[in-house]
Amino acid sequence: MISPGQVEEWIREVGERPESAVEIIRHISERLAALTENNERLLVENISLRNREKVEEYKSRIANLEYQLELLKRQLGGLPDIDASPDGLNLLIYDSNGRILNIPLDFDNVLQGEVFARLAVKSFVNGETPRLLVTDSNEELLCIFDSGRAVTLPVSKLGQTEMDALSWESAVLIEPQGGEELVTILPIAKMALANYCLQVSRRGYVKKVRESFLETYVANGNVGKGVVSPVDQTCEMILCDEADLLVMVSYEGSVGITPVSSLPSTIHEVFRQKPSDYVITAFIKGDRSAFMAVTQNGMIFNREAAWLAQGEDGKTKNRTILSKARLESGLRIVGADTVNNDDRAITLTSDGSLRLSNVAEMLRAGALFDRESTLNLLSITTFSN
Amino acid sequence: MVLNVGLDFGTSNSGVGIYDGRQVKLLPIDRQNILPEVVKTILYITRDDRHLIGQEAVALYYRHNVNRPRHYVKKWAGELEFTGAEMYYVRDIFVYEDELKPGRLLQYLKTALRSGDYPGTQIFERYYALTDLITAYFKVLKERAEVILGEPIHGVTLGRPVIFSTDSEKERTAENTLLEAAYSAGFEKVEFEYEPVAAALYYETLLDRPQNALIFDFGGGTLDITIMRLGNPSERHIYTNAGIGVAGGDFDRAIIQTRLLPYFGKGQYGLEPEIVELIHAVSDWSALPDWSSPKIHATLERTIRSGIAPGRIQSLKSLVFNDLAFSFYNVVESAKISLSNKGVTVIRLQDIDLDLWQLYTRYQFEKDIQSYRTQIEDVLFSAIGNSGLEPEEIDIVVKTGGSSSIPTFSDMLIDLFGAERVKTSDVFNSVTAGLAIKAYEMG
Repeated sequence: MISPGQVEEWIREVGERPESAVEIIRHISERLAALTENNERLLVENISLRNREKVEEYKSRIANLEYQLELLKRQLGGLPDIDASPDGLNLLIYDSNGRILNIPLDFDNVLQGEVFARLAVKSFVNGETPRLLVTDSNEELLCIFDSGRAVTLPVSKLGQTEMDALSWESAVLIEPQGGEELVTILPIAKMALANYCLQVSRRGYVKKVRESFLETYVANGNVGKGVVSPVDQTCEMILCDEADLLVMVSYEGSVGITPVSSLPSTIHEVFRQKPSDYVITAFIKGDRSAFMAVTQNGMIFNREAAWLAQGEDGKTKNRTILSKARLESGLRIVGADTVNNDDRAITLTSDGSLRLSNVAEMLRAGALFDRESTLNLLSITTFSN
Repeated sequence: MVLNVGLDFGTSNSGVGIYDGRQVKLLPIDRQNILPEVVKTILYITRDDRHLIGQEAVALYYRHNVNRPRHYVKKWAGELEFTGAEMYYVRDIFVYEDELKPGRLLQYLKTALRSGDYPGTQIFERYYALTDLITAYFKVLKERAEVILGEPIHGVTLGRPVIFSTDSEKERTAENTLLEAAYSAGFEKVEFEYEPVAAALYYETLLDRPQNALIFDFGGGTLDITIMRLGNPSERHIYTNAGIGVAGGDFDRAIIQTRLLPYFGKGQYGLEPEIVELIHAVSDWSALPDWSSPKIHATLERTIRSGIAPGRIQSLKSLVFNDLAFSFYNVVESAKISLSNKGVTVIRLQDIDLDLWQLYTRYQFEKDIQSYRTQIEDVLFSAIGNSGLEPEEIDIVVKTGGSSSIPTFSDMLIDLFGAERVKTSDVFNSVTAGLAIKAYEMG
């Protein structure tokens, strides 16, 4: 602190010891330089405050912290009002309108291969195809919209729908805002165990996000959007590790296999397709024994998992499931995954029926429906017990 | 043969020496110090009851404390009984204790000895009387000396200021406390010697003819003056001893009070009395840690929110609650020392929410301690008068102790005796060396 009195004292010092003048000037100029630098930093901060950038930054930080807190609460199982059975599996049926049905799976009362529930057919408006997801009842979900908005909520908060009253009217609605669509739901309770999260778009563009950045990425609204073409849309979000293989399957039966280690962290076209084609599902190969793909008429294609070998030099290897003749006959892939024999699958067909099937039986039969059946498969999901 | 050592228990620094009849050996007690023969009079007591001294204590204190988290818990401390004409009741007393506090640093133990109104302190689960604290320091010092010497130490000659206190009761209490601490630390034989006399004994080893010497022993806690005849051990004669409780620590406080308190809110209007009291406590190093309570924290926060000098009060909060007091006192002391060699220095302390920068000149320093200079001049003249000698009859003036290097006091001696008669003895070690000689003579 410099007061006029002190300046007078410094002058007196110089009067007594003239050599002190140089030292005084040196110290003051050093201080002045430091204060100027500090002032510049404060000016920049002030500009940020005036532009509300800081407000946005802090809002984003708060949102991120709230999100992490919520996650921790769920993962620690600390909430007293969780009413779902702790170890049960739940089937989620969701659509792009943000409607989610939550059905607890009670295997004691579900017969293999039989219809265990029916969703009202009139529910499928405008050709909208619901998606299926089997998850733990104490799972945490990240619901991702194509606008970049993401909503987290636990399965236990979804409310449960009775199997005999299955209709969208009883669904939980995460209301889309401004024409956005719910593109996928990612279970994230075990997110901390993964190293990366992959975002795969329908046009085969992939972005690799390090797990530690994901929370910021979500908080900043960069999940869900972030595709190159405006007509493109996020298809899947996948948690994975460096050594995993990413498998993408298209509507017209193309399969792209890429090592995660070779993926860049910027958005990159990894799986090039014909203009008429698009990715319908993507997953990690894992240590499953077989690869299974199912067409809309219930035809099942079965390959050994080794068929999903990666290309050379980390490049994407493309393979085909459907022959040209089958494509011309109108056959299209509805779902695909890697499976083990003891896995199970749930299918949703055009009449709204939900069936539970053993994967081993499906692979052995090679088809879901009888030859005469007019049913179409809308959606399929597989899961382990 | 029994081993006796000389121990200089100084306000800022201490030392241990041994004399073999031919030469003095000063023991490298603190190998982490720039001068290993000098050990800071600092004691750090950890929560697990470890006792550390010198640089080791300082290093661990910094590692443990600076910017550490705190967690206060309310603890029952006792009860107070109220008895009136028609009423009687008992009230519980609670204190807030920082349960994350890893240790307690203690400095200026010798000043506490002099003041006579410091009974001791509670450190974690144990109450340490002043004797216990000094005992703890002596024990570590003795252990280290025995490791260096390779054999147990039997006796000690302890230095003491000429005057602990002008109050005879306090004077007696101080000496008894020091004596008890030395015995408790394991010394079997203890004797005292005045510190300036010890410095004179060391200087005597350099003389080839008898001289009248004035020893000007000016350290961190006291100024001690002895005028005595030296040169022939059989004809030693003390003309007079004098002293005053003014020294380096007082100068540090003067700098803080005059120059640095405005950084922490001094002179600002509208502050609560409690905050004003805290600002003035900044110059009292030993008191500052006791202010770090949740109540004060809340008061400081409230003051900052109210907008009364928020930056300065934030600095005050940082100083108290980030355990920066020790660093603060060190930078002030360093600035003072540097002014012995040059005319200008900067007192600088930068930490979280604290940016202290003060250009400080020797002119300002001398102005700030002018009243002390007058007191010291009076003591010096009084000592010369009491000795029965004229200034011209004093052959040599020997300066020792850290504060004796301050130019204004050197100039004072030179003005009185002439530059050719004013000599500087080993600033930090001459008392220790003299005590070692005395210990040898004790046998």
